[in-house]
Amino acid sequence: MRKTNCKRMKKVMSLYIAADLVGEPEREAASHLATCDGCRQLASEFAEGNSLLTQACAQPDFGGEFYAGIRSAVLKEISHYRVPSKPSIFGRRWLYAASLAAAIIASGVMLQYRRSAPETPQGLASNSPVIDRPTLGRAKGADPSSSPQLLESPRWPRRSRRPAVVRKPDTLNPTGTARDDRKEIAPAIGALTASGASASESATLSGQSASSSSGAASSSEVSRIEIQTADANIRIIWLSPRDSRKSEESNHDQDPENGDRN
Amino acid sequence: MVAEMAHIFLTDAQEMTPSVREEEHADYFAMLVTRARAGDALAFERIMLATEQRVVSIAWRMLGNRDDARDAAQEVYLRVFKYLARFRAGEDFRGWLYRITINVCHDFARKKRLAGLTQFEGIDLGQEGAAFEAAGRDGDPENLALHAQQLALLRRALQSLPMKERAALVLRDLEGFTTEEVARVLGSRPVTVRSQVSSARAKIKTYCDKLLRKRVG
Repeated sequence: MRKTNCKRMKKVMSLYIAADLVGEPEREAASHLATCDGCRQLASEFAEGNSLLTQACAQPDFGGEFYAGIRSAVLKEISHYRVPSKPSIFGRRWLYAASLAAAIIASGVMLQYRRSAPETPQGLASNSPVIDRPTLGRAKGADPSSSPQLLESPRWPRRSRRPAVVRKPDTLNPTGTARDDRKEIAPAIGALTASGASASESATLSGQSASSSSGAASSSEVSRIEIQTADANIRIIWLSPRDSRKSEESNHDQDPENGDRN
Repeated sequence: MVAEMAHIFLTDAQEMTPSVREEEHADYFAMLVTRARAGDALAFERIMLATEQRVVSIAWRMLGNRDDARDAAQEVYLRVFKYLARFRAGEDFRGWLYRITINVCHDFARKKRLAGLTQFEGIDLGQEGAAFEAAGRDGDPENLALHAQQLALLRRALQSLPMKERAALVLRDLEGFTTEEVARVLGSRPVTVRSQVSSARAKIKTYCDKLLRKRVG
């Protein structure tokens, strides 16, 4: 019990000596000191240490010249300086903060602009070759005058329009139109399967035609569609003049083999 | 008017009762600050006259030598002048001034550390002050030497403390501020100040005990 008290006493000894303890802790410390010689000795050492510290750090008399030197140096320095009448809102810190905020806003605007802008220049997108694979869909009596709209997926937003050359086959026709196209292409598939292409292979025909047509449809005068079958030696190519294509669309659908076959 | 008031405070301040003195001091400093803000150099000089001893004393105890104390005091008053516009009316001017003093001392100590100087280089070790006079009361040269050695040791011990503990100890034990005043100056809580002061005293005692034991051994 007494040891515990001594341990606690050591912790608060310096506070007790400097009269920083008040109330119950102070009374406890005083009663303990009255009974414990070791702690009393410690208390006297602390007190002596405090008084020695005060002596050691007693302020020396620097003399009037010392202070006058400080004053004159300061007054000389501030004679070149004007006190601002009130805190400026254009302080250096504010300027830094404002310029940082401006930079963040500008970069945000630029990012938004870049996102909203078409990924390819408008002219390139409009001049890009058009794939004729979906022309199979036009055989359902679609108005030829609306064919440019039919060539595009209706789900794609206008800003994400890309040149046809980079479209993936699966994304080229993600709508029900594609399924309809497959139905329409059935005669062609039937012909292909007859020439060795399996049914599953024929399911990928439309995609292959899209990807393979990238190089084929490069001419603005002639539309060209290529279909690579499972057999590497067999490739179906449609070539049709652009102007006459509209009139031929119905014929294509009715007679898909109306083209060259390599 | 300013000169008259300064005269009153520089000569009769000791004779006033503490509460009256505090109130008068607050008014006096408020008036001087207002005038100094308006560009009155004389008012600013009055502020320096009224506070320089305390500022130099804190700086000397914090930094340990006369030259650093002088440079620090100059820097303190330059900062006070520069940021006088930020001082809010009604705030305790001297508390604000001593806070600047402590901050300047922190900066000086940091610069010293960065310059590669140890914390004991340049400390005034017993050449000045009333310490020697107190030590030589009995006139015994051996006791005088021993006492001087103890005082030098204590100064070293003070300089070995971390800056926050040193500031708390200097303001509380050596400058005679109350714990609450120290807390206001340092921007902390009284409990923290008590803890810092207690820790600082214990460290000083340990430091001195260890060195004395080493020398005796």
